[in-house]
Amino acid sequence: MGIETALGNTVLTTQLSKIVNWARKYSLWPMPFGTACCAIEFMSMQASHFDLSRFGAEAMRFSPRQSDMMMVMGTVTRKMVPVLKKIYAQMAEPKWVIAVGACTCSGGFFRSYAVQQGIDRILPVDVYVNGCPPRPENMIRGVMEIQKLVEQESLIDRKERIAAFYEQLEKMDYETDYRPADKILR
Amino acid sequence: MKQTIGLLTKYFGEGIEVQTGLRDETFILLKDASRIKEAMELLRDNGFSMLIDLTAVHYPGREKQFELVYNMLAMEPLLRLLLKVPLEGEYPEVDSVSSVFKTANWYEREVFDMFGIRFKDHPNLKRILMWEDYEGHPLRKEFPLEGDNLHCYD
Amino acid sequence: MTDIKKEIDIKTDRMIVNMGPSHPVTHGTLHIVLELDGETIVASHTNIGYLHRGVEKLGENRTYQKFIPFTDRMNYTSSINNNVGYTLAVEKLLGIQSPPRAQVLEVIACELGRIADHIVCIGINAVDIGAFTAFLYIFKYRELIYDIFSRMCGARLTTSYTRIGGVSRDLDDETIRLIRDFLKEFPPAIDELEALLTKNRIFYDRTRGIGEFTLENAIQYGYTGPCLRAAGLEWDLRKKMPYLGYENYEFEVPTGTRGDVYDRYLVRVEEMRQSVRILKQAIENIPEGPVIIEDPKIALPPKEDVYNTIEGLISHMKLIMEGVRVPAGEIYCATEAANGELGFYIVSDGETKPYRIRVRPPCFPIFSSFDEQVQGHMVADAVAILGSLNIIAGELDR
Ligand code: SF4
Repeated sequence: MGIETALGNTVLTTQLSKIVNWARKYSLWPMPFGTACCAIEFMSMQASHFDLSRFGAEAMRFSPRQSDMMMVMGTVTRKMVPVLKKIYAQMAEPKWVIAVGACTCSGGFFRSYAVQQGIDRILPVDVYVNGCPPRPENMIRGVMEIQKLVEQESLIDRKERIAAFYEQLEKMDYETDYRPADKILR
Repeated sequence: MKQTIGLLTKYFGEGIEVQTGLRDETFILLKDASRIKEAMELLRDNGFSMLIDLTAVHYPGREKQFELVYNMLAMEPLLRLLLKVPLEGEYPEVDSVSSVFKTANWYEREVFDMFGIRFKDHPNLKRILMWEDYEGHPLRKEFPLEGDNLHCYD
Repeated sequence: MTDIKKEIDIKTDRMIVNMGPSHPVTHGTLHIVLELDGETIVASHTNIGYLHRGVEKLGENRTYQKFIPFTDRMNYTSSINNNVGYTLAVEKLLGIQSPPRAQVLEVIACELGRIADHIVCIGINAVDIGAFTAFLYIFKYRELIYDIFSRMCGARLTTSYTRIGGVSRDLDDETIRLIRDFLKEFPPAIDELEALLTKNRIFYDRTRGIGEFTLENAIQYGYTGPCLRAAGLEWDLRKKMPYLGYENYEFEVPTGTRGDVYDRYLVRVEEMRQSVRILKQAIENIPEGPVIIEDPKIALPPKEDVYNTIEGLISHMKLIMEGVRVPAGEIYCATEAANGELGFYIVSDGETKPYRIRVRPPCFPIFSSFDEQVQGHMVADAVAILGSLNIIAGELDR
């Protein structure tokens, strides 16, 4: 390391991706997409008792364009799916997704005609947080997992992974879009 | 309560039937569905000032498949009355009571959404809980619990 | 002259503003489309159903006990009130009553739930109007209530505390001590909240006269709960049709005069005080005895019996596998939840599953009046009105 010997302790050399990831790690801006009960627990997580700001993620942004970590909390119904997709599409890269709660991970115990059975059929989810609702500590752990992910994964790897996800989604040939209008009633 | 029943009998004669429920509730069966608006107006003018709930039940085995349930509340003296209206046919149609009680507006939309019962003269009869071009009526008995939700099956 | 007048009344195009389905003020998933003329709301259209989970249909496919967890997820800010409402309905259908100790425990649970609900409603309403401090101050006490709940039933939010014929667990001394502490600490906190908000000029100006609703209109729309009381009618099911022995407690029913956002806030604050009063009476007079009825056809037998006797094992298995058998018939049972009248209309055909289970949510009729209420107000007022109605999407859409 020639530069370091030449300049002494005044500079630090590192890889660019490492320093970028390090900076990103502690400045995640969450976009809370809260729909149901889990969102109430999220309020506790954010308030004074548990305090999410200890992890550098307290800057809530309700606008998808300003945030880089989407926390999907609460039941996602099939009526909500197009909205969720749109909001995800509006977020700028790099973006991460946490699925908080049983409902978002797998549909939970609402196995019915109206509920989307897990958002991983429509979005690439990075971290799943279990529980119904998860305790605030558990949600914080989810955020910490995301931080680990941010630190370890270079953005190029990530891009490839997400592309693979969508490819796989297409292969599975899901019929996520809804059937045409009820003819009888019109 | 006797007074109300007396009034209704005077007005509708054979058209109503009084039933007593499991725990002493009063149910009134209005046989002729086309007179529902009249009945509601009569009840409203005689103390039953609030329409607490409006819902329906599907009995596929019966001749008259659907039963609308109007849940009325009188405040002074305190009375509850459940008015039941059986309806005939696969997609029945009744008069809307949203001009009598404003709250009926959304309740009727919900019943339409969940059961497919249509309401005549309703200001805005559209689906309320499901999205607009959804197919089928979830709370009918023949509708499966998972519906057309494909993700339930893999 | 006419020309000048024309210039003053500049006609602008109507503007459409979309609120939701994901929007910070909706606190849930509502979709409101406002039509604006300048900043005045000319018309509004509401869309609901973004949290429709098919609870009623699911209820038809579950046994009576298994529906209890679903009631938690309906009004998730005060799930315990829903539990109590539902089990009361089933108990009415069965024609039984829970033992006296369980009834008092249910009253305690209900009132704590009511306080928690009002804290959320007031806190959020204040945040929307711009008073963030009040939110932080009052939310601390919600956390205390959660601690009590997690000692009572093991969960903070989704409590599932009651069972058919009683409650799932007894209160221990530590919990009673926690409740006593809470009752000591909470009234000063209400005073603090009032000092921050009630006489606050900005809060007053933002809420007084906003969303005024006459009593006739409120009755027409089927209002119940704090919103109806704010419009000036003393109507509380706890007083009018007492259940769970509410007739034995001393409390008052606060009412407002104008039915606006400020009145709704005042009514909620006063109701918290009355709840504290009820709690104080309840906590001192908890009778001794069992917390669940001893009927092997309805309530689960104690665990020692299940492990040691064959009868216990069989009845445990039958209850879990088949469920409670109820007589055929229909009932409607209503309780005063934090938002208003929460009713359950159950049609049973004698099987272990309900034939039809209908939940009468308090916010559904209240929210249906939103379109009429906001007309003529400013956009910012719509936010205040929405907060004061306390719309919980899980209960609205079920
Ligand atoms: S996981 Fe549980 S708590 Fe969270 S939204 Fe679903 S039902 Fe509610």
